[in-house]
Amino acid sequence: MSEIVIDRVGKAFEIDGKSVPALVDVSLRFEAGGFYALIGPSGCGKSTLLRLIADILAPTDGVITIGGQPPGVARRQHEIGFVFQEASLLPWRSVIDNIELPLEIAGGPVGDRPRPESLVRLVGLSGFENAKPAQLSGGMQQRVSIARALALRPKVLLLDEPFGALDEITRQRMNLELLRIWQETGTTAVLVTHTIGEAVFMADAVHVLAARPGRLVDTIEVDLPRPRRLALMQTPEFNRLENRVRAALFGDELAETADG
Amino acid sequence: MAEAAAPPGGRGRPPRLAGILAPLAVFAVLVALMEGLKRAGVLPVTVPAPSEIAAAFGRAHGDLFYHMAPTVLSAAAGFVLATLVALALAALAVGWRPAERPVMTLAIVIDSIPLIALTPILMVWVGNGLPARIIIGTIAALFPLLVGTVQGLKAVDRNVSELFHILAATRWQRLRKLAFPTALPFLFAALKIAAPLSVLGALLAEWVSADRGLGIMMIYALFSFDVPLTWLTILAVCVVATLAYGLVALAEKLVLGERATSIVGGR
Amino acid sequence: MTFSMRMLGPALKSLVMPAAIALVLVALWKAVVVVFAMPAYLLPPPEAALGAFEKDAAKIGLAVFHTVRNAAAGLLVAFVLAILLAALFVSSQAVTRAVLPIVIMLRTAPVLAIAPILIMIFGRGIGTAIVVVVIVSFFPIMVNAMRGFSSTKRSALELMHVLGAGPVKTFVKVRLPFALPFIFTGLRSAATSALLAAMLAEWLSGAPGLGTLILDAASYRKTPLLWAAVVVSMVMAFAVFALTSAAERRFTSWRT
Repeated sequence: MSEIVIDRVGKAFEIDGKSVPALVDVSLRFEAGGFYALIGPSGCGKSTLLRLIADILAPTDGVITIGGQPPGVARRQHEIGFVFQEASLLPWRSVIDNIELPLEIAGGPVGDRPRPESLVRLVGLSGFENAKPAQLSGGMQQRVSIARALALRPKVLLLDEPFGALDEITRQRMNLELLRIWQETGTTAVLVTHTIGEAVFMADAVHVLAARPGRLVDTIEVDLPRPRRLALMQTPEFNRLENRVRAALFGDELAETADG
Repeated sequence: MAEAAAPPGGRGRPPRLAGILAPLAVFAVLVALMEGLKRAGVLPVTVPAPSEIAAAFGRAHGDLFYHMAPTVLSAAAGFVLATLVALALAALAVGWRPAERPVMTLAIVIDSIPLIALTPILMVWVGNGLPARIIIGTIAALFPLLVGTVQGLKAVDRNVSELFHILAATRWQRLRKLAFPTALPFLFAALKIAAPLSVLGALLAEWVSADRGLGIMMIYALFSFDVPLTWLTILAVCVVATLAYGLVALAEKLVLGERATSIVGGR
Repeated sequence: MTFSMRMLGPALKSLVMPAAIALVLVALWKAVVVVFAMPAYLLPPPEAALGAFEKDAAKIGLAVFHTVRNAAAGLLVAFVLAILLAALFVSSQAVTRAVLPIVIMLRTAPVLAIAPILIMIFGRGIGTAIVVVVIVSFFPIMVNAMRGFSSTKRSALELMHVLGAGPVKTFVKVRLPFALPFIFTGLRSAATSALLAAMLAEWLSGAPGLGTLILDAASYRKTPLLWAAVVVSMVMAFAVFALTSAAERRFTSWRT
């Protein structure tokens, strides 16, 4: 529910005493309540960008604001939810205790925060409240980690290749559920992915990044109707958007193959 | 449910009984074999029959328990002290970056000094009483504890660490909810190694100089060539050390539950 | 050029650091003696220990020779035995299951405590110290070697099978390389305790060596000699540790 503005942001890392640019001059605007995808080859800085928004890293150049405030403020007000590629659960805590972790750390009044039990239901894990992470499959663990990210009713939900380690079939199901959850909570979602179909299927706009140095090369607006269903992926419209993303990703390479 | 998963708590128990029975059987066979060989006159005079050791226990159990008490006391005190010192040093080494190398270097230096070289000097300084034996017990157990705790505190998953940052967790929350629970299995693995070591340290100090203790009883038995009694005292030390190990393993099971490492799974 | 420099850099660094620490410790030692006006029987000044070292150089040298020989010989025998048995054990699942718990229990048990039995059985000769070293060093090497041999990646074994390699070739080409880091870790932890075991066995059995020298010097109140011998044993122990750690690093570098 917060707008995210990224204004001419750059990030360089110090490697062996030399400054190596990871991101150069990225400007983006994520509307409040929207769903956005960042796609690009490895090394394009898409995960770095996500960590800049989450205030895990600080930008070398430029400014990022969440709802008009610096990311550090949003973080300390517990407005940011983050889902990692690995579920990254605490193995000694049960499902419900893992979901409660952010509440324990934030403390304070419950307010309009969702009850952990309702989050368990939201991600479809009813009956597994007391299971330990080791007893769950990879997909179920990732559901727990999404529930955990939603526990403080974040205004911004950042997803770093959340289903990258899952098989294709499970991933499609999880994506559908993620869209449902996103619509129920109304949070601003930013998804990092390296799957073209996933990016188009999920997002209102797909931002394409290129590597060395990491930079923004194109933005493809996705004007497909919501709620989105699997059948959508078989439509020519969907295909056309996928091809536009592919063209932005591969550029001249794609043209060469077509000529040959 | 989209994905298949094992139902909570539905895992079959591993055949743990067999894991205990097999070594026990081997032990029983060894005892029987020893008895048989001794009766057949194959074993030298320096190896007693198990029945002779049992007889030695019958005649000297009063002495044995009299000497066992200070050994157990100094080993236990050394073990507790070593745990406290290791926890403090590990917290320092992990919590304050510049301290890590000096702390670990010091630990390595202390660990590589042969205890037997340290003992006489220590006894010149603090006398050959209980304090010296407790300190030796502490030093003997310190190194694995320190290394284990440092490893454990550093074993925090990077993503989870980032999560705690995003949640704006305080240092204390990070320690209590993340670092400490992560380190616990490592700590217990180290405690299991350290417990018998502090028994050995106490024993070694008694060997060098003591009026009372299993070590000195052992030396007397050895020098008077009382074969069964020598074996009995050594057996007693092994039992004390194994009990110490067992107690820690039990505590581990109680605290960690399913997360406890099996006997074989320890590092 | 760059290659030799790169080799030399860490080696130099690893020598400079302990040397600096040693210098600081000696300075600290001297300072404590002066500041607290330590009586010589509690803490002799460093130069007194150095004097004892010069005066009894032959005695200390001989003791070091005995201890190092006992420790090295025992370590070597233990190493060969442990590797052979570990290789044998891991070839059979059933044997591993029956033997491993015992071996691990013995490793955690204070093996050094049985030294008196060994002295009784093997008498007071030179061999006894070696036997004690063998027993003490055997278990850490063996446990680590067994872990190492069973750490082989399944896919690597399957590859050897597909390539039609026999058990010997599989062992030499796959199992052994996978196990090497573990074996050297075991060797490192065994080496320092081997030194302690040798010194202790020498003293308990009355055989010549550094252990006997130290404890005799202590009981006859020859404090400078005691300190000289203790410092020598510390330097020796640290050298053993540095050497075995270097070997371990050399063989584990590919793992990171």
